Amino acid sequence: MTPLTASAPALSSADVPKFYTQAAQLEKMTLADSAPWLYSALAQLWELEQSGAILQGVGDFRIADRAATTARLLFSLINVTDLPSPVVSPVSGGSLSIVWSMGSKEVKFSCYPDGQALYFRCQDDNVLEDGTVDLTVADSARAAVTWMAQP
Amino acid sequence: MPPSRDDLEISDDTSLLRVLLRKWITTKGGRQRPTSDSLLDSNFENSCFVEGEITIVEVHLLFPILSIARLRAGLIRREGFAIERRPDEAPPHCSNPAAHVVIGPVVPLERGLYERAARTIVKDPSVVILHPPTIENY
Repeated sequence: MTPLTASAPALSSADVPKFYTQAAQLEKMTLADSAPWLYSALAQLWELEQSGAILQGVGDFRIADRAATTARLLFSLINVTDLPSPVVSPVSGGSLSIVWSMGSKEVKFSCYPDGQALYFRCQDDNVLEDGTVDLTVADSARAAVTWMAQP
Repeated sequence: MPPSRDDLEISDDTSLLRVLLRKWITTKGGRQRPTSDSLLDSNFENSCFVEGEITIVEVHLLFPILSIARLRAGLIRREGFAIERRPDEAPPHCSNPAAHVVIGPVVPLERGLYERAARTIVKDPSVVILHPPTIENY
C-alpha cells in the first residue's frame, strides 16, 4: 500500500479500520506530514487523472491506470523528505512524468502505460544517465533523488 | 501508430507547429523551451501542424490559451523522426485538415533513446515558443 491510500476515496472505504491496526501503514502515512512535496505530487497526479481527455490535434491525455499506480508507488519509495515539489506532467498516450529540479540538477521519472518506470539523471540540461526503476527495490528510485539532493 | 512514412514533400525548411500544454514549457539557462514530454507520445505519434498550410492565428483559435512551439522539419528529421500527414486526425473545425501531421520515429525507439532524441530537438536554439495573443491583441 502506498501513501495514496490516505486519499478521500480510500478513507470512505470499508478498509479504513485496517489503517488503525497496521503500524507499517501508519508509518507510511506519517511520511506525508514531513514531506510537503508528497501532497503536491499526489494532488497534481489526481488532477491529471480527473482532467485527462483526448485533445485532438495535441494528444491523448487520459492517464493510464498502470502509469498512475506506478507513480504512486514511486512516491512511496522515495523516502526523502527534504525535496522541492516535483512537476507532474501528462505525456500523450497515457504516460506521465515526474520532474524534480535542484540547481543545475534534475531527476525525471517517466511512468508508462505498461507499468514500467525509467529514471533520467540530468545536469545542465543534459541526460547523464538513464535506467529502469526496479519498483521492488526502494533504493532503485531513491538513489536518483538522493544524487540530486547532494551539494 | 508511429508514422508509416516520411512525407518528403514537406521540406526541411518547413516549420511545424506543436501545441504545448502549460506544463510542457520550462525555462533553462534563462530561455523558455518546450519540455521533452511534448514530443514523447507513447505511441510515437506527436501531432503538429504545417505552418503556412494553416496560420498560427488559426491554431491559436483552435487551442486558445495554449502556446505553440515552432520546430523546423529538418531538425526533427535529423533526430530520426519522420513526418506523416494525418488529415483524418485533424481537430474539428480545422480549415485545412491536410495541415495536420504526426512526427515520431518510424520504428519504435527504446525509451531512453526516445527521451534523448526529443530532448535534443526541444533544446535546439532554433525552437521558439509562440504564446497566445492577449485579448488586447485580438
